[in-house]
This record gives sequence, C-alpha cells and structure tokens, in this order.
Amino acid sequence: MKALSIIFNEQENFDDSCLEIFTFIKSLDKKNIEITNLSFGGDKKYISKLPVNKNFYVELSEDNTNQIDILKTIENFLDDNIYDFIIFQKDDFSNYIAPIISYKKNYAYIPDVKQTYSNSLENIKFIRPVHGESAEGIYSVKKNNPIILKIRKNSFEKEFLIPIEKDITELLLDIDKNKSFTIIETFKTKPEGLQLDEAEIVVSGGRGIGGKEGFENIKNLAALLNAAVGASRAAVEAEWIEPGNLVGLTGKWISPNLYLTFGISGASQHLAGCSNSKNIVSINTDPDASIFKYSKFGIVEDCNKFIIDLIEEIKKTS
Amino acid sequence: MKICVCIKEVPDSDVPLNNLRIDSNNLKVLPIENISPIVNGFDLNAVELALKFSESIENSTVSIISVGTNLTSDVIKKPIAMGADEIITCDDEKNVNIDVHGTALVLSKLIKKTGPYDIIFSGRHASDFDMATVPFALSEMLSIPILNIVKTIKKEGKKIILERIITDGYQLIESKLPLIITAGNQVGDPRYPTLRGIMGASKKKIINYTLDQLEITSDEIESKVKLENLYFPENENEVEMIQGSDSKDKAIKLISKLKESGII
Repeated sequence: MKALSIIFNEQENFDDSCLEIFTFIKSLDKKNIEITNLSFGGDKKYISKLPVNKNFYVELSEDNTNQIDILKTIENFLDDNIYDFIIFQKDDFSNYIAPIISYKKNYAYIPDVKQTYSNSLENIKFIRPVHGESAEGIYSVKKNNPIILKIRKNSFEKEFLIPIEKDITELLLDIDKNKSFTIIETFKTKPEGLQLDEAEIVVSGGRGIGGKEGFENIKNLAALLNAAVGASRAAVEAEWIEPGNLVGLTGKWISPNLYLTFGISGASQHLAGCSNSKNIVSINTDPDASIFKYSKFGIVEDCNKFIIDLIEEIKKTS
Repeated sequence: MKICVCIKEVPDSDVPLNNLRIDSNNLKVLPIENISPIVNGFDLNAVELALKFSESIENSTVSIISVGTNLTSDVIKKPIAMGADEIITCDDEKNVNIDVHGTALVLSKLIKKTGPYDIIFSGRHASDFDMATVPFALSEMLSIPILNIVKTIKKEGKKIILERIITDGYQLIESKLPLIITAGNQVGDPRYPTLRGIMGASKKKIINYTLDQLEITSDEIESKVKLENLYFPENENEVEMIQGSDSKDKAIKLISKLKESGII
C-alpha cells in the first residue's frame, strides 16, 4: 500500500503537529505501507527526519505563494505517481488544494477525519464530526478507489522524528504563467502575546463578558498565568477582541493543558476548536450552559466578578 | 454583470445540542420540534457580499440557485426579500440523499443552463455537514477558478480586487473574471429583508428544473464517498461543580482544586 503525505509550512519553521499524519497513516496498515512525503516550505533539516520512505521538498520563496502554483506542482507530481491514500492536515493551503486535487485526479475525498473506524482495506471507514460538532458520521469509500483524507489537528498522537537526517529530493514549484488571480500582498495580524496554539493555558471570553472592558480582565488573568487569550465568535463579532483570537470551527483549534472559559455557553462550533483541551474550567451564570458538560470544573457565577476575585487570589498565592 | 449565489437550506444550527435528534432513515441531524429550516448562515453572508458588489455596478443582476428536496419556499426566498432578482432551483425528490458531489453536479448544470455568470458566490461551508467541498467541485466542473473566504470585492476599471481571509491575517488579491468566491461571517451581518422586499419575494415565482430536465441520471449524482451512519458521540465527562459561599470563596476553592489535580 502506498500513502502520500502533503505538508505545508509557509515559514522556515517546523510545525510538529504534522507528525500526527504519520501516526494516522500507520493506523491504516502497520506492516505493508510505503510512505512518501511531499513538503512545501519549512525547515529542511527537520523534514529530512520525517519517518517516511521517500521524501520530496519544494521550496516556497515568499509569503505570497499562490495556491494555483502549488496545485500545478501536485498535479504534475501525481501524473507520475499513484497512491492509495493522500493525507493532508487542516490548514489554509490544504483546505483549498485537497478538494480540488480530489476532482482533478479522481480520488474520493473526506475532510476533517478524526478517527479510522475500520481499516480493513476491503471496507475502509472513517469518522468525521458533522453539524457543528454535535454529531459524528461514519463514511465509507467505494472499493479500490484511491482516497484523499484531510485529518483534524490534535486528533492523533505525534509520531517521532527519526534520529538521523535522510536524503530529500528537491523539486521546483511549477509556476503557472497564466494565473487567473495574483496575490498582491499578504498582511499578517497575529494576536499580541502568547499564540493560542502554543500556549499551555488559554483564557477565553464570550458573550457573557459583556463588552470590550471585560476583555481587559481576561488579558490580565492571561498575563498572570502566562496564558494566551481566546474568544468565542460572539465576542469577535461584537469586536470586543481581534479575529486572530477566535477559538472554534472557523478560528483556531487548540489543545492546551488548561482552558479557562468566562461567559462562553459552549455552542458546538466553539467546542470544535477547544474540545481537545486537556482540562476545561468554565464560569457561567447559566447552570445549564453546554460548556459545563465538557468541563472538569464548573462554577455558576457572574464571570466579570469572579475573574476579579480569581486574579486577586492568584496574586495572593503566588 | 451577471451574478449568482448558491444557497443551501439547512436545519437551524442555533438549536441547542439537547434539542436535536437523528433522522436515521435519511441520515440527517434535525431539531426535535418542528423548527423551520434556515438558509445556511455563510450562504447569507455570500448573498450580502453579492448584493453589495452588484450595487456598485450598473445593470447587475443577482440570481439565487439552490438544490434540494421539498425546499421551503419562504426560507429559500429570503435572499429575494434581501434584494436578489430571481431564484432558480432543482427541487427534486431524487435529491433526498444528495451529497457534495451530486450537489455540485446539479449546481453546475443549473449554472450552465441559466448562465454564464461573471461571478458565482457561495458560503464557505454548510452548517449541516461542514464539508467545505461543493464550491471547489463546482470550480473543477465549470473550469472557473475559485477564491475562498473573501471578505470584500470591488471592481477597479477592468480589475477585480479582493480581500481574502487567511489564518492570522488577510491577502489583497487581483483577479480576472469569471470567478467563484466563497464567503464567511467576516463579510458582516446579512441585511434584514425590507417589508417591500418580503412582499416582492412572496410574489416571485421559483424557476424549477427537475433532474430529468437537466438530463442528470441518478448514477451521475452518486458519490465515491458514502455516509453509512450518523450518531451523537457519547460524552463521558463528569463535571465537578464548585460550590461556595460567594464568588471569592469559589475562586479560592478553584485554585486549590487546580493545584491538587496538578493542573497548575
């Protein structure tokens, strides 16, 4: 069986969440699987240590990489190589490229896979969440049809890098000269302070915070705990906080050790982004708020009052 | 400029989790009570973006296109009440279990039949199955390039200038037409229908085509991927509610609980 992983790293760094892809691939067939990796951008030294049989690398020179060029490169690559599985992970490039490649190359396509339900090659099945995150569906694929899967981040363990650097074959990006659109400029607006997907602790505010002022306390508590600041869609849409702080289906997907929520009710699309947190602690005035069902500790209290008391008590104990 | 917006009728996504049920015959998540379906939220953002764009260009028309079974007339006419010009559907009982592939195929035929359009808008994904695939499949079937999660679009001379949302920022893009665009909540709230709009929409006739009229066979809408089962995942989590005499007392207790469990 042959599997291809396609990984994007726009900067010269290495996001080790891509190592989840290899745990997933090995869950499909432990014994007899040949893994090829095709990486776009990222730190070559790390990529050369990926646990794969063949390794290809395409350098990305700037921030304004056009998806059309990447599409063309992958399309040409797949002209010469056929795989049983092609695995992407959820990111801006994959969200665009995976469904298009599935049509161009006649692969079946399942996005947001969180689990393999049956790895019998005769009758392979995968689980993905639907309807926000409120339900799950089991999906099968026509026999012998090659499959493109986009897996969810934080759903699988990370495979280890191998200790030595192995050879990488470098490929050039195929530049499409007749592109229908060009990227004039890319503007990055990273939230201030610690980044959401890197922090061990995240403090988030929602509708119950009541306004921009409420987020000052969220930020103070976050600073005290060396935490990142998150928010629900209601808070972002009310412009109490930057869109870069959004946690949820259309924002960041996080998995901190501690996720503290203030005035967040727990709409399914928010849970999508935070349900992989190891410990959720929620403060809400409504004892029936859905977020409590997913929390380790819950407190029914006015969140704006509670957060001030909590800040004060933490200052006393530290 | 001829513009169309693809919309989908979906179960109301604001219904709380404990008021949902699974329709195991048709494999759908539905509200327990008889709550009216809605137009997918992101599709209404797409309608808003399309209407804004059409208002900036003389002689523009906005057509609404939808695929489904037993569509609710009042629901799918909402974009007409918001200001769109016409509504074209393929409402056919054979569409009952249609998935992303079939939907994209039927949309592509409707678009070919009633187009060509200069720009095709749609929501970034539908809130029922969250596949985010139909606009991309449409792009391949129609050979029209796609830009996803667009926030603004304007015409400058012959050029189309767009702002596209990416993780941690946005991109400024120059594009040619025709083009497919997907939109999300970044567009801003969809406008409320005016009373005049609602009156107009109630009189507007839906132009419907059956699968037969579009010359699409049941085999053609069959997908390589099949939804086999749908269920609510079990939640085994047990929450410990922290009680206390007042807010301060609860804060003290929370800190000691977090320390005891080694979380902080």
